[in-house]
Amino acid sequence: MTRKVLLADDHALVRRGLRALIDSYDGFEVVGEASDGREALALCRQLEPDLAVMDLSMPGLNGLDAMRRIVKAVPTCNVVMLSMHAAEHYVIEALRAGACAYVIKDAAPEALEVALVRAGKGLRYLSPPLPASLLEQAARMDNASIDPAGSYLTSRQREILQLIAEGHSTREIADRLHISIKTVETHRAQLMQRLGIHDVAGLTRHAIRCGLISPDT
Amino acid sequence: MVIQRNKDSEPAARADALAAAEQALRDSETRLRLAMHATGLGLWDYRPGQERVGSNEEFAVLLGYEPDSFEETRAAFVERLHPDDRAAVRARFRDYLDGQCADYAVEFRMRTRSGEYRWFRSVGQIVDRDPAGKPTRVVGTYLDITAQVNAMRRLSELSARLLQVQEAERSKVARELHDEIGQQLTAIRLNLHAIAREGGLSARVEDCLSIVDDTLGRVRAQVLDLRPPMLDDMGLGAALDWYCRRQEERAGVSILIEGVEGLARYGEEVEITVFRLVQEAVNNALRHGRADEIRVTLHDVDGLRVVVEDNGVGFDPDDQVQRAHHEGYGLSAMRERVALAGGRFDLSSAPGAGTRITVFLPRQAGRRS
Repeated sequence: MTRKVLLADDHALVRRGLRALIDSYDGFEVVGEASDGREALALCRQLEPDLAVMDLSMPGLNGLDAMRRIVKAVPTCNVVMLSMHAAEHYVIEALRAGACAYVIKDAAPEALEVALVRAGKGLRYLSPPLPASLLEQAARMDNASIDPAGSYLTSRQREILQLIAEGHSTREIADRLHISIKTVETHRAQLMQRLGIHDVAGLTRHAIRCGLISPDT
Repeated sequence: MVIQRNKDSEPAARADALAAAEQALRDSETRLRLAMHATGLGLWDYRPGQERVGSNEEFAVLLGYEPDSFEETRAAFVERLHPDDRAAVRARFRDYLDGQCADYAVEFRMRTRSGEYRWFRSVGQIVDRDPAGKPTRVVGTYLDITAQVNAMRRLSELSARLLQVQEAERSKVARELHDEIGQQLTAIRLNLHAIAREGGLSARVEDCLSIVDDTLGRVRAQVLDLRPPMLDDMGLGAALDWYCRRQEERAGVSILIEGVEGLARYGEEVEITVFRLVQEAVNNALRHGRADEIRVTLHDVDGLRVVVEDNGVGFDPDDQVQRAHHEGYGLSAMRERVALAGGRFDLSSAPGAGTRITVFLPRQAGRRS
């Protein structure tokens, strides 16, 4: 069964390139092209594609806002967000706005194919080098009753809190994040002070409460 | 022996000496008058307790009066001061007379005869005291510094304008790089991948792909340096959070940032000013301060309060050379820019005690009257 794909990118040459690439994948067919968010929304309503591959930053109606409206208007359409941004702020924002998959434009072309295959089945996907933990994080941020204090941590603090809660040592955290041990210690001290929690068990409970890790890990 | 000869000198010789002394005094007065005239210095001569204040011709001329009919009084001076400067000038003068401060040198506005206010610099010194040590005579000068004050103001405006122009340029180049060149390269890349999928990955295509990937990487890095898109897309909080993490990884130091999560959106001018300020302060802390811990704190208090402190080597802010070295051009221009946006800028530092920069910006940037 061939899945219908709508393509939205403000740059015609990029659209042509994407189209050539997607048409070369088995089981996908590009049925329409839009050059901005508004057009994408209109075409989705009209063509009811199975998938929409959209650039995150577009003029007129930007990709994020267009997607919010598309997932509402055409619930059967899963959105693969394309973006040059690898910063987690964008990824989480896109996932929370309803993206099924998030693919960095500079990722290998296979990533787009994987994203389409998975999103075609309604499964979520992040292209490398994005960590899969962002998926859980975004999902839990929506579902869990978020402890207000948890949302006032910086992204670095959340990252370190999560790694501590998962049982990693200071050295492991430093290696993983490419920062010094002293920096990890400073952040840990600051986040403990911020949360008013001074032991690892307490931090772990807090991480579960605000959705950074799941209770069964 | 000089003393002996004076004692025994003839009346005629004494008259000669007196005449010579008078001539010398006249010469000295002429020289003084010429000097005051040439430099445009007004002279004031005040005896505490007396209403009348001595003055020279230049003084009258500076204020636009005819020297012959001009007479200065204490009350006239106070009345002539700009209402906004009056309290400060009087307090400063009192403090000087009371010995609270070592010198009297102030800049203020005075109304001239035409009704226009001009800037003056007044410098004075106690020249006589009574036996109890109370000042009985203070003499000083006025210099019209209106042109300098205007020039300084213009300079401040220009340096702030320079930053704005630079910002606009950067933004334009970043957009061009991202929207045009970046997209074209992305299109080439996609086409190359499509070619590779159709006809197999030849060595030449592989080369092209790696060149395109490398070039795209450079373009993206340039865009980030010029103007992070995140600032416009996600706001100041996210952009600073991202920037501090990036610097932390690059420089191997700790950068703690507080108050970015859930930070409100501000006007574009405020957001870019704060972003550049933090960028500049963090760079200075790393480059000149050799800090290994930097704290950035944002706090919304009916406006935005930003504090950047480091544990670096610090410096003496009163030492112009040290200050110029540590602040660099960027930060001193930033001072102007904060002032122009109607904000306040404060820097404190001491050798060995790190540096702390505090900035407050009103919610909407705008010039304060």
